[in-house]
Amino acid sequence: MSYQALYRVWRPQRFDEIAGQQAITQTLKNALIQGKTSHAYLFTGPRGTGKTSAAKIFAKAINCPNLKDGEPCNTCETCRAITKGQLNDVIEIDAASNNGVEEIRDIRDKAKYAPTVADYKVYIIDEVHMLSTGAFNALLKTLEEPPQNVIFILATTEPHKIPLTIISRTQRFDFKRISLQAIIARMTYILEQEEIRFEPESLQIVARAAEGGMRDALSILDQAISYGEDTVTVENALSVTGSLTQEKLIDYFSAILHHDTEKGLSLLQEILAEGKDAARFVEDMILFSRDLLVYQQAPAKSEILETARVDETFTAMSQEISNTALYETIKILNETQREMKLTNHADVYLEVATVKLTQMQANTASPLPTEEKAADSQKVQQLESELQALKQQLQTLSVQQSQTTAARPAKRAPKKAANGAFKPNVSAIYKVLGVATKQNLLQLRDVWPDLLDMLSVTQRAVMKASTPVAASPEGLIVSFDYDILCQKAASDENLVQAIGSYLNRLIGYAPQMITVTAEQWPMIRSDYLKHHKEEIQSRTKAESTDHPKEAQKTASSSNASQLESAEPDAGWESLNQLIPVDEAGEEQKEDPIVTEAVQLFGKEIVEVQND
Amino acid sequence: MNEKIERLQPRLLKQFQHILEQHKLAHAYLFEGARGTGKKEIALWLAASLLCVNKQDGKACRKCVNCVRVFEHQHPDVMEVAPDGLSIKVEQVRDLKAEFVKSGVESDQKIFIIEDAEKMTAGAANSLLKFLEEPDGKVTAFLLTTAKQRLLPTILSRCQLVHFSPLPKPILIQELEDKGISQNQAALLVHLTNDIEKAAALSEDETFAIQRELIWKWFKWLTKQDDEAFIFVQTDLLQYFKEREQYKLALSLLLLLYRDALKLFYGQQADELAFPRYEQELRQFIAQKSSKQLTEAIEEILLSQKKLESNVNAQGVFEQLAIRLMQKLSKPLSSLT
Repeated sequence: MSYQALYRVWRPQRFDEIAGQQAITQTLKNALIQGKTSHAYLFTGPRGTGKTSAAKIFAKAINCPNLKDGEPCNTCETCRAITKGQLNDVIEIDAASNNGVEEIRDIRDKAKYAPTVADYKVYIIDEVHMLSTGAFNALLKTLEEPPQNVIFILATTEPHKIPLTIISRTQRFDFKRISLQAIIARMTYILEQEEIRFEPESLQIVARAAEGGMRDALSILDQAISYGEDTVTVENALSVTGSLTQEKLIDYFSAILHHDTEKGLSLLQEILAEGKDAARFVEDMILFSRDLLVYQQAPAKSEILETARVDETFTAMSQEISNTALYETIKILNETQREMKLTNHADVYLEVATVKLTQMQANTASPLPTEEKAADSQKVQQLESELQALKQQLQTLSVQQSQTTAARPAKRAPKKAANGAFKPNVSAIYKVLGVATKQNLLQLRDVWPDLLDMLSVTQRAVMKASTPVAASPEGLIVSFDYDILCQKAASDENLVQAIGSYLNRLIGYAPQMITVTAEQWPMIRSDYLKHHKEEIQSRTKAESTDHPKEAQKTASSSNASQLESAEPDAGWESLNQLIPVDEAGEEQKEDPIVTEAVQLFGKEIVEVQND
Repeated sequence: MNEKIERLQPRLLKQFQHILEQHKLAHAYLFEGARGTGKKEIALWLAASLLCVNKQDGKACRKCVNCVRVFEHQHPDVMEVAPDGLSIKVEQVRDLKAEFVKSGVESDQKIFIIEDAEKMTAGAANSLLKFLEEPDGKVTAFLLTTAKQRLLPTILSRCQLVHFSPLPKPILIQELEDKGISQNQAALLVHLTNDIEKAAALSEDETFAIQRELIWKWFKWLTKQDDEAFIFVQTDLLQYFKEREQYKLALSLLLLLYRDALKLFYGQQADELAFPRYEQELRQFIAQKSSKQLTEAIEEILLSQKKLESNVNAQGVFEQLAIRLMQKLSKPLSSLT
C-alpha cells in the first residue's frame, strides 16, 4: 500500500468529526433522527470545508440500520461498503466530467429503479456547477419529484453558477470557512493519533495558511511532516507555507512608516530571494495591517487578532502608525493582490506596491482635518504661509549678506575668471552638507517635477535645467546647468520664496534653497570632503568607541527614520552615497580615450556609451 | 541529469530523497516556479524512482530499462500532457482519465505529468478534481506551473505545493560569463530566463540583438516624449516582433528598462540592473522624474501585458502604450493643489 495523504486517511466518517460546521451537522442529524429528510440537498462552500464528506456521511446515515443519535455506525455492511465506494445504491458522480445532457438522462432513467441493497438510492453529484445548461434543465423535473427512496445531494464550490430553479428545489446548506481554532483542534487530534510530535505554534502557521480549508491544512501538514524527521517544527511550517516571521513583517512595516523606499525594496528582494511566496506575503501583510488596526482601536481584545503576537514592537508600531495610513495600506495591498492573480510578474507588482506604500503619506500628508475645523485650519494655514514668507524674506536678506562676507574666506572655492561668474555661497553650502541626509534628498527629488509644475511659467523656465543635489532639513542645494540661470535664480527673491512655500505644501517643511552651478558643484563637494574629512572621521570614531554597535547601526541605516535624520551622524559614508551621479561622471572623465575624443571633437558631439 | 537537478535545486533534491527513503510520496504534487528551475527534471526523476526495477534506497538507478525509458519519454505508464495550442482542453484530461482507468501496462504504478497546468481550461481543471482527490489505484500526479495563482483553489488544496526557487542571479550571471557571454548580455539574459541553455541560445540569436536595440530606441523616443515613438511601432517594432511570444518579449524588455530606472532612482547597486550598459542614460532620464511617474509607467506596461494575454491586437496595444507613457511623463502630477 503506498502512502496515503493525511486528508484521505482522515476523511471524517461521522458528523461529529466534521470540523467547524456544527450548525449544519446538527441540522442534518436532527432531520435523520426525526425522519424528516428532504429528497434533494445542495451543499455549497469553499474548498475543504466538508461538503463531500458530509454528503457521504449522510448517505451512510440514511442507509445505516444501526443509526444512533443521527450518526452512522460505520461497522455494518452497508456503512463499510459505502466508505469503500462499493455500494451500488450510492452513486457518486463527477459532474465536471459528466456534464452533458446525455449523462443526466442516464441518471434520470436509472433513478426509476428501486434501490437494490440499501433503503435509499443516493446520488452525490459533485462539482455540480460544471453541468451544462441543458443538463441542469434536464435534471429539474427529476429533482422536484424524484421517485420514492431516491435522494440527490449536489455539492459545489460555486453556487452562483447554479440556476435558481435548481436551488429553489433543494435544501441549501452553506458550509463556512473553518475557524482557526477548529482547524488547530482537528490537526492536534490527528497528530496525536499518528503519534507525531509537534510545536503548538507551528500549527498556528499551518492553519493560517490553509485559509479555512481543512484539506489545505492537512496537505500542508503532510508536507511539513515529510520535510523534517517526523516532527512539525515552526521552521518547517514557515518554509512549507512560505510565510514570514513577525519580525520581517515589522521590519517591512517600519520601512513603510518611515517612507524608506530603499529599505522597503531591499527587504522585498531579500524576502523573494528566500523563495517566499509573493501571494502569501501580500496576504500576510493584509492580515497584519488588520491586526494593527484592531489592536489600535481595541487593545483589550487581543484574542480577535488573527496573526500577530502582541509584544513590545507590535505595541509600539500600533501606536506610531495612524489609522488612515493603515486604511490606505490595506487598500493598496488589496489592489495588488487582485492584480497579482492574473499575471506572471508578481514581483514587479510588489515592487510597485512597495514604492506606493512607502510614498503614501508623503503625498497624503498628515491626517485630514475634520469638516468643522476646516475653516479654522484654512485661516491658520494662510497665516502660516504669510509668516513663512516673512521669515523667508528675512533669511534671504541674511543669506545675501553672508554671501558677500562669506565669499572672501572661501578662496578655495572655484572662481571662474570670467566676469560676473556665479559665486556660490560656500559657507551656507557647507552648513547644509554638514547635516545633509540621503532621505531628504530622495524626498526632494521625488517632488521636484511637481514643484516645477507649480511655479509660474517664467519661474519654471529658470528652474528647468536644475536638479537638487544635496539636502538637509534646513537647506537644499540645487545645481544649475547654466551659470546665468543660476545667478538669476539666486537673485530672484520671489522665486526663492515661492519655492520655499511650495515645498512646504509638498513635503511639510521648507528648506532654504542655495544655488550652485553644475560645474562648481563637484569641486565644492570634494573640497568639503577634504576639509572636513578628519572632523567627520574623528566624530564617527569617537561615537563608535563609545557605543560601537549603535554607531555602526546608525552609520549603515542612518537614514532609516525621519526623526533621526536631522542628526548629522550620517557622516562620511552617507555623504559619499549622496551624489552617485557625479562620481560616475568623474570616473568617466578619467578614461584617456574619452578625454582625447572630447578634445578632438568637443563635448557636444562626443557621446560616451559604456558597454 | 542528476547533476542538473543537483545544481538547480539541491535543497529540494535532498528533501525528496528523504521522502522517497521513507516511502512517503504523496499522490499529487504541484510544482510551482519560474521557467528553467528544474520542475520537469524533478518530476521525471521521481517518476523514474517509482518505476525503477533496481531501486537504491528508493531512488532511481538511471540505468535500468524503466529509468532509461522514463527519461526518454517512452515509458507507457508515464503520461505527459502539455497544452495543445494555447490551453489544455477537456478532451485531453478525459483521455488521460480514460487511460488511468485501465491498469498499468507494466506495473500497477501510473504517473501523469501535466505541464503548464495553469493553462487548463475551466472544464479541464474541474474534470480533474475528483480524479486528483481520490484516484483509483496507485497513481501519482505531478502538476507543473509557472503561475499557481491562476489555478483553481480546489486544485491547489488537493496537491502538495512545492516551490521551486530560481537560482540566485549573480550565480547565473557568473555561469553565463564562464560560457563567454559578455557581462552586459548576461545581466539582461538572467532577467529574461532562468534556463542557462536558453539564455545561451538567446545570446547567439542575432534577431534578439536587433530586438534589444529596437526597444532601447523606442524607450529613448518615449522618454523624449517624441511622437516618433508612436510611428516607430508601425515602422520598426512590428518588423521584428512578429508573433505572440515576441510581443511579450518586447514588453518584458521595456518593463525591465523602466524597472531599472526605478531601481536607480532608489540608489540600488548597478550590478542588479538588467541593462547596466545604459546606466548613464537612465540616470539622466530619472533626474527629472518622480517615483510616482516611474511606477505609473510600470503599471501601464503591466496593463498592456494583460491586454496581450487576452488577445488584443498587438499593434493597438503597443501604440496605445506609447501614447499613454508619453502622457504619463508629461502631464502635471500635482494633485495636491
